[in-house]
Order: sequence, then structure tokens, then C-alpha cells
Amino acid sequence: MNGHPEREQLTAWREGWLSAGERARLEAHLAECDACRLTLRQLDQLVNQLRSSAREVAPPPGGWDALLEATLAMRDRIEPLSPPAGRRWLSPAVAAAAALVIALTAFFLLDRTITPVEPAATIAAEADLPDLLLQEHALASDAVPFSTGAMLLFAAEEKRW
Amino acid sequence: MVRIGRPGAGTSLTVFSLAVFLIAAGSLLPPLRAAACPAAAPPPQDPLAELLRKQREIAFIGERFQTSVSSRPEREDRVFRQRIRHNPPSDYRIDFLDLPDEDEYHVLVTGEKLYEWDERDRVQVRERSDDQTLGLVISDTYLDLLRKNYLIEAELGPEVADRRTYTVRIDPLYPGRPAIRAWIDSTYGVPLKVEVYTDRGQLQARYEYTRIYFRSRLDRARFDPPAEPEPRTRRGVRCETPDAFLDETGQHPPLADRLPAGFSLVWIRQGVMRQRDGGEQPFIQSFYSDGYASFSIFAEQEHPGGPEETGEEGLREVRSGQRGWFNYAVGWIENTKVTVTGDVGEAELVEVLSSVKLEGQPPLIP
Repeated sequence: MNGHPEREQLTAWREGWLSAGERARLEAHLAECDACRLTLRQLDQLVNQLRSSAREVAPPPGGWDALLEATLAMRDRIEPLSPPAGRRWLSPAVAAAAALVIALTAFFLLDRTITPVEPAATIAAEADLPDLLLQEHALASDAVPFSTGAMLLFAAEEKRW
Repeated sequence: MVRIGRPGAGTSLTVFSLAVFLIAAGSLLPPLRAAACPAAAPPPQDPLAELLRKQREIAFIGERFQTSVSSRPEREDRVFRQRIRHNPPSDYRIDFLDLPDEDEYHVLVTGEKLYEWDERDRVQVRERSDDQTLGLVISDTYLDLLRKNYLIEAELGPEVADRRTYTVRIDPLYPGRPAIRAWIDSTYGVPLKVEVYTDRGQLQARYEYTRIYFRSRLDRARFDPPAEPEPRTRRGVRCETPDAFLDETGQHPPLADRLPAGFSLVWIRQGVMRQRDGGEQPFIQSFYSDGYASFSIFAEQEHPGGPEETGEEGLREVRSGQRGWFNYAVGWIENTKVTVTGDVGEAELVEVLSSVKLEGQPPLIP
């Protein structure tokens, strides 16, 4: 493993989502890295605090998956806001509401097995530029002198076909 | 110091500089040519041809580290360890090892096929196009474009992977283009180290061999393809000029009126994408390059989900963005989806897209 794992990877390891190879590499890194073990302990504490403080929430009509899909659909329709003219502080009511949403979201994410969701921008980009066209160009560009293997790096990073 | 293609220095090339340049460009295999298209004029006789032919017959196995430097703040740099194997004339294999958070991943070019697969046995195979050989085939066209658009200098360099090298400096003559530094093996011409920098001087990508061993031949079993491949795409007709393409296919290719400085049309291809659901989507690809950077214009006629079918007027707008290494711009001309993608600036690709013309149809932006 090169570099430190991201928090998402540590979370995935806690939840047992990693493949055998990924798990072995991460555990080998953890065995040698004090900083990552500390991060993992902090993550454990956070999860335990959230679980102990959150009360049981009844599933919404249609279930959690329907809520997730509806939320994602709503997010895709939201126009980006213009940057504020100056620094503003959230009002206490808004801050409290935001904290509640964050807490519920964290509880929801940590207490359930979910499929990681890609950012909306990535999804939109894939719809605009399909993998197959991207690969066709990347393959062609690898024939250009001194190519550093854009196709190979793309494939190794994305590995979607 | 040896200078090649320097402005004002004329076009005279020394034997040494041409050897260094051609070898550095990775010219390890004779160019293949599409049988379906009219043959282009043969390249001029080169006094170094015999030497190069001898050198590109070398087999090797090596290990190199490749770094992908992300241009996006949310994505970290990636380092890949790769094992490279080459058996002349056309077998080439790259194994990505120790991938962070990923299974191992393999690419094999052998015969007329290009295979990709990972440890979960997900296999993809394509019919290899003429120059889809992972940089092993470098045509004279690319070399001419590189000489035209970049300043190239070579000198004796330091050892890389315990091998003597020549250092090749390639600097753009136009703004906004990358600069390349390459260290090539002084005996066999294999690029042992390559670095690419943005026009702002930021490292964009690099690779460097840590070990490399040259042989007369590697065991053929090292290039055995994986089992049960799933074909995804297949080769179509490819030509080097619009007229030849029209003669061969009866179709007009998508061509741009406005190009970034130094770029030229290199070839046009008619292909078919084989989709996951078993369906097929034909496309025409026009490939442009300045000798290093490149972009493609794709035209997909009667693309499913187009504006006529969905009724979404918004799809008629030009949209642009970035995916991995590449920027893109996409728009519609009637029922044809036009996509421009490459390692060229997003704004430049939008400009290219806005100038694309399809015969018999109004331009995207009149």
C-alpha cells in the first residue's frame, strides 16, 4: 500500500466491505502505522457515540432505499448557489437543523450496509462521455510519442467496463 | 547538445539526433496499415532504418513505477508499480501490481488482440487498431508533428536503472502545451524515464524503470491471453484522409473548422461499440494531434436517448467537463451526438466542438 488509507477505506474495513486482497494490504499497513491506528480508534469512538445517542427511527414509507433515491434525485435538481459576498455565520436554528441532519445521515450511513454513491458530477460526466468512447480515445492517444499510458492509468484507476 | 527541428535552424538533422529522437519515440515496431484503405505513400528512405530495425527487435522485461498526478484537488496522486514485458515483434504486456485499494490489473497486446483483465477475471478484449499497441508503434506522422510543434534537444544523461541514457528535452512552441523530459537507453532506445509537465511547470505524470533486463527472447508463455474474453469493441475501417474515408464508407466524417494551434487531423475511423447489453452503437472517430497532445471527435448517428426521443431541449446545449485525464465537450447536431475529448483544455474543446460540421447538416453553432 502506498501512502495512508483514506477514512472511507478505514470505514469500509470496519464494515467488512473490502476484498480479501484489500483487507490484507490495509491490515498490513495498520500493523506498522501508529497514525492510522489512531485514526481508526477515533473513528470507533465517533461511531459508538453516534450509535449510543441516536434513537431508533422508523423507516419512511417505501423504505430507506426509496428515501435515498428520492434524496439523490432532489440533489441532482438543485442549482449550485452563488458564492456569498462575505463570510456569514449560520443562525442557531439553521445550525441545529444542520447538526440533526448530519447526525441522522451519519447514523443512517454507519448503521446500514449501503452501496457507495458517486458524486453527482461524476455521474453526469459519465452520461456525457461514456467509458467506451473515453477508452477509444485513450487507446488511440497511447500511440502518440512519449505517451505515459493515459489509457492504462485510466483503466487502472476506474476499471469500469 | 543536439537540437532537432529548432526554429530557424533549418531541417537538417544529424544522424545522431535522428537516431536519438526516433528511438526515444519508442519506434519499436514497423507501422501496421489498415488493409481496407488506400495505401499512403511510403516513408522516405532513412539511413538509420537498418539500425532501428535491429534495435527494435530487442526483448526486455522490467519494472517501473508510474505516477499519475491529479489535477483535481479531491483526488490524490496515484502511484502504480508495473511489470513490463516485450517480445518482438508485437507481444507486449503490462501488469499493474500493488494497486492501492484495487485488485491487480493486466493489459496484454498480442497478435491482433488487446486484452484487459483483473484478478476477478473480468476480461475485456478488443481488436487492435493499427497503432493501438501501447506506444510501440510510432508513425512518421506523429514524429513530423512533434518536430513541427515542439523544440527537441538531446544530450548524454545520467544512468537510470543502471543503464546509460540520453536525456531528451521536448518543449512546446505553442502556449498551453506540456513539456516532456525523457531518458532513453543509449543502447536499445527504450525510454527508461519520462516526465510530463503542464504549461505551468507542474508535474503531470512520470514513470521510471527501476530494473530492466534485455534479452534476445522471452518465454512465449509469458504472453498467453486470459481465458473466456468478452468482446466489447471491434475494429472498423480507418483512413488517413476524409476523401479516402468517404470513398471507403460512403460517409462524411465529423471535421472541425477551428483547431488549437499546431493540431492536425491524423486519421478517421469508423467503429462499433459493443455495449454491455449486447447492442451495438456505430460511431465515427476523427483523431487530431500535435505530436504529443491529442483529441478525438466522435459522431454517433441516431444515438439512443437523443433529444428527439427524450424531448429534452436541454440536451441540445453544449456541455463540457473532465473525466480522469481527459476533458470533454458534447453537443448534438440534429440526431447526431458529437463528443470531443482529449488532453486539451476544456475551453479549447468547446471551441472545437462549436466548429464541427457534418455534411448535409447545419453546424452546431451557426
